[in-house]
Amino acid sequence: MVAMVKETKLANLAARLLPWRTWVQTGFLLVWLDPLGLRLHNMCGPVFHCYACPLATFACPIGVIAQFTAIHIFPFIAVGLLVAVGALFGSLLCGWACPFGLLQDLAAKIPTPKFSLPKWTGHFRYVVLIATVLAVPYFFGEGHRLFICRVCPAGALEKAVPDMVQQALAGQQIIWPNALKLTILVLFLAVIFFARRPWCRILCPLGGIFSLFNRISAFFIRFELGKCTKCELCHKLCKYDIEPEKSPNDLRCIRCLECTRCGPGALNFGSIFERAAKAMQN
Amino acid sequence: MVTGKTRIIVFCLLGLFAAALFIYGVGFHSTNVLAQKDDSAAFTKSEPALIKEVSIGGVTRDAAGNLIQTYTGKPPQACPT
Repeated sequence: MVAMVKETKLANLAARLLPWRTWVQTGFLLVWLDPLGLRLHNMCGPVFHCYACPLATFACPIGVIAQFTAIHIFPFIAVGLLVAVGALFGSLLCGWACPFGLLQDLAAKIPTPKFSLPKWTGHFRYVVLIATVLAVPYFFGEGHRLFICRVCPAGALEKAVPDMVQQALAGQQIIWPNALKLTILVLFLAVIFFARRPWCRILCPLGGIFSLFNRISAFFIRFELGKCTKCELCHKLCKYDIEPEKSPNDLRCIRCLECTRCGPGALNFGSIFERAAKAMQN
Repeated sequence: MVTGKTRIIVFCLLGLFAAALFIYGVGFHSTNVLAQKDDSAAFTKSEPALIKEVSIGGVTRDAAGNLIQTYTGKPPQACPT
């Protein structure tokens, strides 16, 4: 597919990379899955990837925030990292770098009927963030059954399931994860085939944090009203039921940038740095 | 609608805030942790070291409010949750 020629270098780069998004996400696995065995678990990564997984380069920022909250210590590094990444990219990493997002994107490629998720379900991410990452750890500690890591499907999939397989292959007694975690995992694995990115859109606390920065981040989706022909092609291009011309940097947007493929070029990927570069040229 | 100028100002402020948090966390923030079963042996852990500890479930707060290590000897391989 030939990428559409855009007005700015950044928009052009985004248009060229867009058909290769899955490969970009796959490429990022080389960063998150620790192929060099570095185990840099004294630093957080900016994506949703369980640190208990044998293949994890960095610590999960949500797990670290929850664990620090449980021991009543402010997680300066994790919060600093999330604010920096959010201020720079908004939820761009959700769409282009997150391994858990990639898993859901791959499942969504299987041609099954896909159900829309109501807009209001996106607010559950903040319920999960406040309840299981902050309130439950703070008041009840990490032993509570609703502590985020005890219900997280990423942890179940990346650590508990491989452990169970290993135990089964070795003929040892299988240690099952708790019933709630297992139920959430089974539901997650069932739903990813019938809804696009259900975890990211309904429950992901990390996506919830990053999306708070969408409207103010340095990289953003720019809508040019003068170029819009009201064809509503962007509505069809957006797989997440957002109307990009009304809300190009919506809270629910994962910044897959599909909407920037709209014919008239009214939606473009932009940044504050272009403006600075232009000013320097002039 | 957020204008370009507002976006630049907000980005600079957030960038500074994030850098301050990050630098403080990496360079200056540390906590005293008590060795298990021996309250007299306290040692200081930097925040990066504490991140590594919590990622394996290696630190908890006891009923008295002290931060204690959950293991002795070799650290566990992964978080028990």
